Amino acid sequence: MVKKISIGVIVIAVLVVGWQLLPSTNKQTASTQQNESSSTTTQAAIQDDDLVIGDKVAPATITEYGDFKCPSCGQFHQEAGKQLRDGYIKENKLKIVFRPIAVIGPDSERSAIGAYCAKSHGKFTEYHDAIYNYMWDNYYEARNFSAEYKDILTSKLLSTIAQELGLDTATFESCLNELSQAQKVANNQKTAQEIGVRGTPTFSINSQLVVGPQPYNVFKSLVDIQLKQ
Amino acid sequence: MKLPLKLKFKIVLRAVVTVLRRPKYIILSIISTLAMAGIIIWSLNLELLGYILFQAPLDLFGKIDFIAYGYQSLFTTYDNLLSLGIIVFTVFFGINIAMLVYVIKRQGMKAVPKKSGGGAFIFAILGGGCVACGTSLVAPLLASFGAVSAPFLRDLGAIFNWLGSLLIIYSIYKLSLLISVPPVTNTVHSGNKSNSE
Repeated sequence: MVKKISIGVIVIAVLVVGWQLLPSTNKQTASTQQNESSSTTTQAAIQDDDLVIGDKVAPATITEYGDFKCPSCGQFHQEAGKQLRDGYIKENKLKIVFRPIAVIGPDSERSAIGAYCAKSHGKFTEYHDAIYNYMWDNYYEARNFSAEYKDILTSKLLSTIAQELGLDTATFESCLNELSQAQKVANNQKTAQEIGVRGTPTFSINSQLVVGPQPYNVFKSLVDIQLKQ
Repeated sequence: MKLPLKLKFKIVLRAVVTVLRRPKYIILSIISTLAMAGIIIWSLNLELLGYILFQAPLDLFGKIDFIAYGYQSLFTTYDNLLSLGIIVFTVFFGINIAMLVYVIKRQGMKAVPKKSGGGAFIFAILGGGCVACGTSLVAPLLASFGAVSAPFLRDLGAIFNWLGSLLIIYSIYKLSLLISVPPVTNTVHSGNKSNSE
């Protein structure tokens, strides 16, 4: 009896997983095709506008859809992200293409625009790290998640951070208000919707979506698969 | 009849010990716990799981490793309160399944209480992920009501999960009553025999 029920539990678990997978097979095929067709813009070919962490010609790519205000994105940055940078990215085997989107609040969009402004000064990676570290050190590490709903990343704060990174604050501030920069964030938002991103952080690796700040080994396995192909 | 809390606790403890001192029920409980944890953990990444199982160029050990890594996400994907909630829920879920089987085996399907964990399962699944970031199964539902920016959303996942745990505890209590205090009809018909198990 117990044996039968044990088998039953396993069968039910498999059925639940299978049931979830079956209807999505078509969607997955479509999304895979879409990903493959759009891979020139999302993965394989790096565009001038792309925000890249690591060597642009590194063979493996993780495309991250993230929000600077999102605590889970901050957690990825503090954990698996750092491990990937210490290993694969340092060895020029991997690049992370960061596509900032605005999910949480108005300052999500402002900080996302700021990333493109920092890039135009060659300081994107530094800006990316500075913003995530600021939110983590001041709020999220201590589980102060109410910060998500406050306008924390104001233009003033972003300018201060930009100044600390050695950017010209006047140019940076005027860049924050440029429509062309805001359009880049809007484009990311559109691409994210098209490939089925529901929230942040979501990663696209080997045309597979990975949701949430997964442990390092999950990313490692997927990057290793990509490197073998 | 309303029982004092202390007595309820004793009844549950006695029933749990009665069931789990048998190795096969411990194994069933562990399998159920791992299966439920797996369902919660992978609920947001089912397509990825499908890719790893059926398409990825990995050998069997590679696939098993990958699935095991998923369990580590309990400590990276969720905050501490939600991680603890998921662990508590899945352990209770495993105990609940073992007790359910024990009751069915001894007293038949008719003896099983109607509310035996289904609702808890739904709450626990909904509780996974980060609601505020949109990476939760309940997020699209809330977004359709325009509720994504409400401050309480951050802990909504944990609330759902703990609610699931409460429902499971209730189910365990109902099953414990059947195990520790067998139905009167059984006692009348089979006398001391029913207590000898």
